[in-house]
Amino acid sequence: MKKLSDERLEQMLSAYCEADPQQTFTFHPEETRKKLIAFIGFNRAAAAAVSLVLVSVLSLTVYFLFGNNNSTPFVVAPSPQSVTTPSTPTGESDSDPNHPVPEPTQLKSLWQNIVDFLFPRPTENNSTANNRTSPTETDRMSTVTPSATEAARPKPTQKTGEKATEKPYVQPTEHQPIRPTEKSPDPTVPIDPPSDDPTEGSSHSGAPGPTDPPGEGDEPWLIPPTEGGLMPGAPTEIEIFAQVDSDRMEGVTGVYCKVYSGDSLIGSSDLYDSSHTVYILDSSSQYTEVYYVTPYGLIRQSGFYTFVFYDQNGSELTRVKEYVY
Amino acid sequence: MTDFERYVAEYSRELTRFCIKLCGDVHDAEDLFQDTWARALDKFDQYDQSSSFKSWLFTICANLFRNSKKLKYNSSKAVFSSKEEKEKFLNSIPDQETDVDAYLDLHAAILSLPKKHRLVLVLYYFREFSQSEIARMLDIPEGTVKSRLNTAKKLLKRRLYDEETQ
Repeated sequence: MKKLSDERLEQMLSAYCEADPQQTFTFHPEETRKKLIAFIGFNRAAAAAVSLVLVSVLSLTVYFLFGNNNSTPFVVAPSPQSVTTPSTPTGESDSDPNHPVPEPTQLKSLWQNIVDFLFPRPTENNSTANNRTSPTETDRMSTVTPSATEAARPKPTQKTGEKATEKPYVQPTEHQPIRPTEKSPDPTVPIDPPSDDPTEGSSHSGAPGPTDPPGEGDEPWLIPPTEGGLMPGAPTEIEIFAQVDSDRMEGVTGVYCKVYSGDSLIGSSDLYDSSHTVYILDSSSQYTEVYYVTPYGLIRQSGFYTFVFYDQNGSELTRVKEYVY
Repeated sequence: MTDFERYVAEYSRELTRFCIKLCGDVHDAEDLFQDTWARALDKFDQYDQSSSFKSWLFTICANLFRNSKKLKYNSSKAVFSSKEEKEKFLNSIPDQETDVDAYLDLHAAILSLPKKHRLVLVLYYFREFSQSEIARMLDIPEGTVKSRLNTAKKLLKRRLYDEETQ
């Protein structure tokens, strides 16, 4: 077993890079220009189509969210403190203080508005006329979602943009677990080895990560900047160096790595997918250095990530928790 | 002949060599070659005549390679896509390299390197650019160039060592 010496490697690399490939390409500007024009033309058309779709979706979203002020179904969802009815002569509210309207999430009221627009209920009053209700009607209607029948309109002092300041997901409170329990693996449910849950086996190292991962359906771009936000620039590959105790490397023929964001595995779940392949750099009597490059575009936002290294049998070798900028 | 045409005639051979060493696959290399010259033609009015055209041209090529989507210019997973390509490669081996198998192993090992390491390695061993020039071309710190070179060589040694012990 002989190792390649540095001098020999230098020699080979120089010879390799300096070797004449026995051919020379010819530049064809016309063919390249045709490809470029077709590419640009296609790109322009695609960009125009996408812009049109985005503008339409945005317009519809704004319309359904903030609505037409002259039409009562499209209202800003009232806050619990200020449930009002529109245009009473004295400006007083007819709402029942014993049945405060629950504060809906932004997404729910948007969806409700869309549903109401598409499927208007017969009892809805679409006019701008006086919508005063009798106390009994108010009692009944207060149990229904406010945007459906509640003729609440924002007070003149309320800003119409107030809704936009609501957070897109529920902030963790002292009553909520830091990590959602439904994401922890159920020990009674058999799982295929190796387990995808990084909390099994070795203990975590490093500082605690974000206190609560975003809920399902939350898009990364809705995460407030305190939890990471978007990385500047284009997504790239992240390099990770790790050390494995050499005694753990006995019998190891291949090393692989899986990447976790919080408790969630990101990327392929197939351990032996080529994107998990790890390079083995140096070995000494004490430790072996391994090197992993994440697949292009896998990590698109800054935050804490856990890199768990396995051998060919799925046995964990080591793990690294790092904050990626 | 215009200035640009003169540059094309003068540097096409070296650019071909560079593209082939970077991409491995001849078809990918030719795509990179064409795109490089097309970009150079497009930006020729921005070229500063007082600086080296070669350096400017290879900067364009290196950044096209680096910034392309992962599979572009690196679409082939096979070491050689055809027998002809392999024969051309074998014919290009310098006479002093008598161990053809080791040379083939090196070729496969270089192609298995991550893109950014391969780029720095080929630029450096092309013997045309110093580490500081490479850092300027790629707009990265010189320390990063050294680090990537070091890591690339470690990876190659490890890969070639494994090949020898098999």
